[in-house]
Amino acid sequence: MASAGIGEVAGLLTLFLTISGVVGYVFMLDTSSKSLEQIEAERA
Amino acid sequence: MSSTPEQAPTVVDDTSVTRQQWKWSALAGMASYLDAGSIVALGAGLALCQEYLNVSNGAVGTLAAIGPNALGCAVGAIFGGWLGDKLGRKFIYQYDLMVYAVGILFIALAVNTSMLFVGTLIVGIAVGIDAPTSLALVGELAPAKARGKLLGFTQVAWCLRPVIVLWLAVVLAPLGWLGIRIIFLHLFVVAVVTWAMRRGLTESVRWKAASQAAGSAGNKIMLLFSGANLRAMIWTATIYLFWNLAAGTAGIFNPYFIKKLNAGSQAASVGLASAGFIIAMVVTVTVFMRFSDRSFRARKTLWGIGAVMQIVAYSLFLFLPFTIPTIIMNILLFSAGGALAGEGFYKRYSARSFFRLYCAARRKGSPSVSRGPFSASGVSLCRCWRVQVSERWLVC
Repeated sequence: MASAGIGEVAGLLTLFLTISGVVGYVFMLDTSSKSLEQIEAERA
Repeated sequence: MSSTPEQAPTVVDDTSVTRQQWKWSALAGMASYLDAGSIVALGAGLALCQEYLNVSNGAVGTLAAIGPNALGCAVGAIFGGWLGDKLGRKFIYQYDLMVYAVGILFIALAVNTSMLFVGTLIVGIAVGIDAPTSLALVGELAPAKARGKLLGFTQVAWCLRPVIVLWLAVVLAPLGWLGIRIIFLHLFVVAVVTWAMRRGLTESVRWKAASQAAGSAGNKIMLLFSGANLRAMIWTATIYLFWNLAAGTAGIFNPYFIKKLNAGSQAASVGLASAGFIIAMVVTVTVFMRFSDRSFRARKTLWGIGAVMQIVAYSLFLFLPFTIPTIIMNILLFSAGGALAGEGFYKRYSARSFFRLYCAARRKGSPSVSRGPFSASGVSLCRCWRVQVSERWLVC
């Protein structure tokens, strides 16, 4: 890893964080203010 | 430390959190505290135990692989979640921490490699068993509009432990292997005290209700892998896997980079690492716990801000020189961003998304599927992959 250099590692981590961030934001589940039972009922 | 069982908190879905709910969340959150404590203590002690017990490099790698940050935890999570659903949360609370304490004693008193391996494996499994049950309990007892607050609270416990262990390791460093023994004995004491305090807890009201529900096991399992549940599972798995690869790499390699690239002293390395955990705690308490339950829009905003901060944190290294000021900016942005778009939301969503899918399977006496194994196995399997990827990078 040290031989790969911080730039390459940072680039890879930036890619991972971008995937997580974009997927998390775009497809976030709307369960706000719902009880566990309500969520379960909606999905049944 | 009363052992007299107290009545479980009534599940009332509003915004207020009672004192009892805070207390139960704190006791459940001790799983995160002991989990992080054993990981960091083992990390701090590996080099010394290698010297004291004459452990080979390969054995050190195996120890890391079977411990609380990898396979041991994964195995414990799969069986612990299943046991927690089948036998109840209380059953796990009654016995698991004693198993953890025994494992810690094996490590603290280790006089040979076998004791070290046995202790590490026991601790890994015990941590894996406790984590899903604890998160399940917090998710079940929390009001709908305060679930993020209480699950965020367990994140605070997780962040607090590494700070204490890291600085204990610095203070006790002159004592060598004895210092590491003291750190593990301290974990033993915390585990026993927590176990004693947990004896007052009763069974989760929601678990009892769910366990009495009827239904077909096959249908419930099919439900988990279809429609909205499948989407929820893919979503939580994707965000956590990719986020955790970055977070785990940062946690493992930041001190290594700082030291190896001569960017700072050992004290600076520990100081910067613990600063990251402190920043995460502060942002979790002041922002995540305060706003994550407000609305869907508030959650998206928090996530968006956190994600951008973390992306910028690592983009810095692409454009700026690898110096202490750049590392400080990286840690500040990544820690604060991670508190907003990271494990806190993963815990929150995994605790909400797969509720009660186990009850029918449990009643039928067949292999059950629950959010316990799914949420914690997600944590553990991501950790396994992260450790393997990180080790591969390290040897390159």
